[in-house]
Amino acid sequence: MIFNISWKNIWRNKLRSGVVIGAMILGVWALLFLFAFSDSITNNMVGNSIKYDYSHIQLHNKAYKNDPTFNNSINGPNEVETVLAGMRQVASYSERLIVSGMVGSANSTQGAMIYGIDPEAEAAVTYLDDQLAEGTYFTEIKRNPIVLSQHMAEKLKVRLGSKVVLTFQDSRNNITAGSFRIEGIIKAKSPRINEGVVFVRKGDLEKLTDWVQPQEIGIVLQNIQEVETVKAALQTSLPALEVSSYKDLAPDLEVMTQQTKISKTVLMVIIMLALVFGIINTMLMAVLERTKEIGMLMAIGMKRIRVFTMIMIETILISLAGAPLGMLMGYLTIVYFSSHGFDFSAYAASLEQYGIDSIIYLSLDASNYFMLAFTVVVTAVLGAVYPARKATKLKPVEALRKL
Amino acid sequence: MIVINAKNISKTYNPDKVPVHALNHVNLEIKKGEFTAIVGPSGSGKSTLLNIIGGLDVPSEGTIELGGEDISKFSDNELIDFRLQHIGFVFQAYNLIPVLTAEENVEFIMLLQKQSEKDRKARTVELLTKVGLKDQMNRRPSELSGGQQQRVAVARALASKPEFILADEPTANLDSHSTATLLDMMANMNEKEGATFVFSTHDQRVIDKARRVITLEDGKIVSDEVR
Repeated sequence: MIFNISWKNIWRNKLRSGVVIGAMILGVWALLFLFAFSDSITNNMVGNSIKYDYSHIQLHNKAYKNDPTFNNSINGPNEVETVLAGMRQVASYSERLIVSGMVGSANSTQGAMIYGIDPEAEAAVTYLDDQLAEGTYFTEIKRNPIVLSQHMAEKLKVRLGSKVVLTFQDSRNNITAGSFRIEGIIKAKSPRINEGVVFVRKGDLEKLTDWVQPQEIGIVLQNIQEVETVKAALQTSLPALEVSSYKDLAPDLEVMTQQTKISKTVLMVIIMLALVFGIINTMLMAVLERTKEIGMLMAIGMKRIRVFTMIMIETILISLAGAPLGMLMGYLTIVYFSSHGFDFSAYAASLEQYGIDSIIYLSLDASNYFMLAFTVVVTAVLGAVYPARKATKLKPVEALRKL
Repeated sequence: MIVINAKNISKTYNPDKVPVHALNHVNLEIKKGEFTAIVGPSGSGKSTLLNIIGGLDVPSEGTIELGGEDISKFSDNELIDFRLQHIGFVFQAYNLIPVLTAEENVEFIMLLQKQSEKDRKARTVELLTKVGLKDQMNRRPSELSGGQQQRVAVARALASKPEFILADEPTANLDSHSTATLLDMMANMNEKEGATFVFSTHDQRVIDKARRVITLEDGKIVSDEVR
């Protein structure tokens, strides 16, 4: 009966209750939408960096980080290959010979990291071929082909088929140079690659550097969730190497993820605080309007705890009435934009600098819905306590005298 | 058998500021089954005395015994429980729960008493039939006239099978016909249910119907007439 009264009490003033319910619907919908939006942008950026640049795990010589020279290459790459081939979690890997040098065209010279790769293996790790905007991916030009980013091409003022000269130190510390022809221009999704990485065939670079051992092996796993497990296993199997996950390689990605979580929490607290005050205001008005009635209830024998419960239920019901609808609206909005996407093509150039796609497809992990539902319940309970306590503080004899 | 025994009751409002002496050393004994009207001009202390008898207010001085129990020593929760089990209230402004139907209003107090659904339903129908509102039991208070609402309030007061019915100006908002109907009904229930009725009123029609009339003036009993 108390539940019944509480439910009916909500509809005494339909407009007032409607405003609170509407605010809850809007608040929950807005939160879900903003959660999905910020998560999707962060996930897109982090995902792009992992997929198109860092991969899941990288192997280096332990000294390479501080002294990236030929001497600090990966010793015994065949042994590493055997270990990787034996791990079912490893989907693909790519060995890279990396030198730091200059890329020169007839018009300009730029500093760059020159990656000597096995095109097929690299495509399976960083999907370079998928990012091709012009030309082909190491299939047409037989002698010294090079693939570089649009950004680099613009800086060098070169186009497909143009010649560029790579200048760098070989393994004997002699300055050497090689002429390469641009076979492909990629629209790199990684800001780092976009800014200053060029790709040549490993064999071509080996000849110029007179060095065959790779400095880096990029690894993609079947499942990103297994990163830490595989990292630990590799570290055990290959103790001489430094095994780094994408979190170690790009701590800024983890910072970005954490920052998004904090922003979401702050946003949720602000919106829920606003809702709490709205709920308290509405329920206080409801209690004050019904002072005489509450006095009568206590006079005829309703205990204060029951009055408290009645107002609590009423407040929680009014709060929760809107939440499921807000969640449904939020879910449908996310579903719609998960297939249609948000088109930010107008800002594509700026977004590219951060490795973010120009079309963002919304997605939201189910845990967000549960967390929000829990928060709404907590908000409702918090909003209910003060009006309910106010009601129980009434003295029947005084309440009954109220007009 | 004396069921209400007020001993030397005084009530002073605002004792520390501007004291208002609502009751001055009132002594009153009411026997079981009496149909008593407490009368007097406005401000004479009728409602205060009724509130103290009903455990809604506490005396500044003196003790009040209901059914042999000194309720002036009860805690707040004990008083609420006592009211629930032993006292039925009828208020001047009916004070029904507006969102509930007549049936639910009557049933509500039995629900607080944790009576079984079967007993609640049977008692509700019985009482609403007695007050002539069996056909209106699914109506909300706003769909009933003032007289009908007060009859529902009487049915509610009786629903818990209380030993005492306390009514504060029950006919103040009713027309002559409704007043007559209500008084006949209450007198009838007083006989059949055996509950002790105490009214505060200055309605002559209620005074005429009462079998005992206690007159208050300036917080003191100035006459006590048994008819």
